[in-house]
Amino acid sequence: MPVARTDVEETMEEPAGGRRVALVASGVIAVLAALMVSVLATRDPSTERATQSELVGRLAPATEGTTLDGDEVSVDDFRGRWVVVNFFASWCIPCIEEHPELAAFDADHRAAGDAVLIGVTFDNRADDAREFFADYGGDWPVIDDPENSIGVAYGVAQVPETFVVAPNGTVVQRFAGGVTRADLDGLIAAYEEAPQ
Amino acid sequence: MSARFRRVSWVVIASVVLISLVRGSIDDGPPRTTEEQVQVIASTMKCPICGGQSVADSDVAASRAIRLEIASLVEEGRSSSEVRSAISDAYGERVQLIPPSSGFAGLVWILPVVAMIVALGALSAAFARWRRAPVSAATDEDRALVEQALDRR
Amino acid sequence: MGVVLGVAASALGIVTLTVGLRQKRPQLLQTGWSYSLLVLLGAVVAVLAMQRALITRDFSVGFVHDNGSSRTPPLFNVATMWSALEGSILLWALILAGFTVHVARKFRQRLADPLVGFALLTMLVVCLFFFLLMLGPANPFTTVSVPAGYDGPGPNPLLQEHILMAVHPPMLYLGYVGFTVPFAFAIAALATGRLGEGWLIETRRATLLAWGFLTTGIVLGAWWSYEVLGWGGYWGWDPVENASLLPWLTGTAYLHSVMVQERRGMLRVWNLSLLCATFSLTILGTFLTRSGILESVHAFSDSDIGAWLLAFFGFTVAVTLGLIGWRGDRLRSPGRIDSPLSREGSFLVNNVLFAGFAFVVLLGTVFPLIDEALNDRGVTVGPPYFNRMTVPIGIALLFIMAVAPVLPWRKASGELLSQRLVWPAWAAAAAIAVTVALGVRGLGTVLTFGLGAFAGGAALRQVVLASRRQGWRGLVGRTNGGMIVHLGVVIVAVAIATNGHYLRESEGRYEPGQTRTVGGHEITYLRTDVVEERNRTATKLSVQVDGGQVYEPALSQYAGFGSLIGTPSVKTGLREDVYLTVVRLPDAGSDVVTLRVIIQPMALWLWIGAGVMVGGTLLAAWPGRRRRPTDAVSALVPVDEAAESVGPGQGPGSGPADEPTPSPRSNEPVGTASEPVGAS
Repeated sequence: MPVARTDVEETMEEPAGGRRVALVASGVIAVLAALMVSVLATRDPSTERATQSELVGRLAPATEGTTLDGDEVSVDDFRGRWVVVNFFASWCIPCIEEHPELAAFDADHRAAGDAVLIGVTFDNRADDAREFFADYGGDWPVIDDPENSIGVAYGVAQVPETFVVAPNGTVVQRFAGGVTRADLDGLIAAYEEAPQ
Repeated sequence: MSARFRRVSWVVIASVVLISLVRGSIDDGPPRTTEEQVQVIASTMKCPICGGQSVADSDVAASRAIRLEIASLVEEGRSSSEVRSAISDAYGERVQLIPPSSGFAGLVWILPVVAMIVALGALSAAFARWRRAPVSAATDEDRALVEQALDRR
Repeated sequence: MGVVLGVAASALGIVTLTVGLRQKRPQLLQTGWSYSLLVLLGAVVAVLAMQRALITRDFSVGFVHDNGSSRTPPLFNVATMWSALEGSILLWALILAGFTVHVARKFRQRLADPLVGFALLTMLVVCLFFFLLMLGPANPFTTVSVPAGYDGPGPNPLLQEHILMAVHPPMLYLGYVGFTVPFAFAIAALATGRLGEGWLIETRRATLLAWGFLTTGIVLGAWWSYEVLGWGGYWGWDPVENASLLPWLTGTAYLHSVMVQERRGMLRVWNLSLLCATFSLTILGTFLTRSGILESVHAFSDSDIGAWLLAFFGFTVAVTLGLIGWRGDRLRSPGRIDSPLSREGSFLVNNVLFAGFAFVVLLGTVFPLIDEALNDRGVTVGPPYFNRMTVPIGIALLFIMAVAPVLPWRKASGELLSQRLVWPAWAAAAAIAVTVALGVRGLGTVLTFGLGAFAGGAALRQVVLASRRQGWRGLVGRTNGGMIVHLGVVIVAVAIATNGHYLRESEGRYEPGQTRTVGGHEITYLRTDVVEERNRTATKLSVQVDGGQVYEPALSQYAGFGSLIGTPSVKTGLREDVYLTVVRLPDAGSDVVTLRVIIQPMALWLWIGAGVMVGGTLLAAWPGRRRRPTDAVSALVPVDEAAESVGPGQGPGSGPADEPTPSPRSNEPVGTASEPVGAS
């Protein structure tokens, strides 16, 4: 039969400090737990955090090389104009989807002369990229980057990604995933209006 | 085994262990080939889209490209921390698997150490207090209980 | 419908039991039995309905629509139920209901006892929560309209690669849910104030088995990660992995520390806290896994279930802290730890180490979120951090694992320790000397080998002494089984250290027929084949290793999933594994493939060691002879013949081989329990 031991406990010396320590300890744990819960409760799912970029506000990295047609081109050649740098690959579905949008953007702005579209291959062989353009049209300069070093310099994680570079050479925005002509036009318009 | 043999044993054991440990902690030196260095650095960087794998382990295009970049930087003679900063310049701090030791993030290193020190300190204090506290004497009631239990056996 | 039954039954059960407890009406408490049965019935009905839907590919059911497929092989189809969020909650609910009925049945003679009443009440509350989850955010039974000719995507292909996927979640859940049983009794003990009773002993086997299941689940997860995910590792300190590790750590500490409470009635606050922490961490872990706030290779789909789980976690922590604070005065133990050099002392240190381990893992896992909340930047806390922080703790634990089992209760003398530990210490010295001589460098690795030998030697010594005294019974029972588990842990630790230190990896381009040598093995790439299977198109590379067997690492395209999934192929060996993965398939117009070859030393021993751990757990759960309060639990001390006790294998297996220890209280059996074994 269980025997209540309370009588024995009462005959002992109880250091009063012990009880206080226990209370303080539980209090501390309670506070920490509450803090942790409040932090956890206010987080967004991790998938939403993907579109920031380190490059925004900084000068665009060196973006130069040989295009699919064999010419040498560099983003610096176009200083003074908006440059849209688009990383793509021929096998990527969102790239195929955004291609007409890019073509339309290119057509408009090449005529106006205020913005230039430059493509850069990412994980894509030059022949495949040429075939891509042959199939889907478009003739803006596309830098062939077999080692993806330009991609790494920009922090490209996955194609397609598009970076918009202002006339003064700084990166203004990164678009992860497919981009539309409205996105690009809207961004440029907003920047041109806003006082620098 | 006699007590004296045991004592001698312990001395021998202690010496062997100490010498071996000292010898064993002297490292071979930093990794030699470029491939090894790239491996080491890449294992401290996170693949940007893989949900947690390191650049060394993952095979997606971005990881392979980053490994190539690391290799070329290493061949230029940059140190590991320079290489890591170069990559995080483009991809962001979050691509470093080792949290920085300064700033707020430094807390993640300090807190466990502090917690351990506090815990061990509390343990020693508790042990010291208990050793000083008097052990209760057995009451007659206790003795009766023990007698009962021993009889029942 | 089964879900509604489960909710209703739990809710009614809770109300009835509360009333019964409040008003002290035993007849109401007796109904706890029927309510648990109803809950179980509800769970079974729901599971059967889901299985029927899966097997018949009834795509009008939401869960099957999202996760089922006609192409999934039958066995994996059944396992599809727990391959995604909603179904996994269903599995959890089923296991929980099963355990609730088990508790009700085991204590059916004592249902009128408020202690049991509160325990059942707690279990029904948890049941209610999980069933409500299924009514609310995690409803697997939503109805969707099915377009003609629709075929679902099937479960995530990574989950279809291997049979173990079918087993890993149920094992984990058996572990998590199993710990709910002692937790429920802990709450009951706190609520009724009856903290010194035998509920610990009665739930002991449940706790041990729950721990065994949890260990199995974690190891299976690591094995799956190694054999299926293809990144070449078995543990990545991924948030989902950490989520399963946290309750395991506190659970292991509890499993050990509870012995102190049984023998001497001490460390009650620790035990209650560890037990409540284990349960709370299970809920927190489920939250981290399913809410999608941390990126992970194992990510489940996110849903709003996160908020519910977090709320339940907060509720659990608040209730347990409140109860412990309220009953604080009753938790004072009647004894004192006399000396740090004693079994109790070492268990206390053990608790601190495990708590520290859990703290580090928890901190590392949630720190990125905290940093983001306060700094709007993002840091990542990755494997290098966890390894650096946990290796020292692991080494300290190895040391304690060696020393604690030879320490007697109450107090030890240096002489005693010296006697008992000298052979293990020789083993340790030999191990350290040999490993350093063989060229191993790195303090952590060398120490792991040495302390592993130390702990292994100590465990072996116990088992050998016990078997010498008792024959085959020297291998079963809590202490001896525990020593075997420790042996398993040593094997695992040594395997981890070797694997980490000696792993060699190499990536190379291969033309058909080309052979390269990697780490002493000859790797020959033969050819590529494309194979159409029922649910995927697999591009398999035939690679011959060491001129012998041909292995086939592959890249597969599963219908309904965009990216290619890689499958590694592993040549398992006693000394090392040769691990092959495909990095790049040939581009058009070329034959060259890129293969990655990783030489993984001692990988097989990880699984062997884990197997020994699980085997040891089963041995430890073997029913031992019933202990009486007067049985010795420690080394025999020199007394007259009359007081010599029978001593079954519960104490450290001491015998004629040990010299008798001098002790100040040489006329009394050392370390008798100060509480009688719980009556039932």
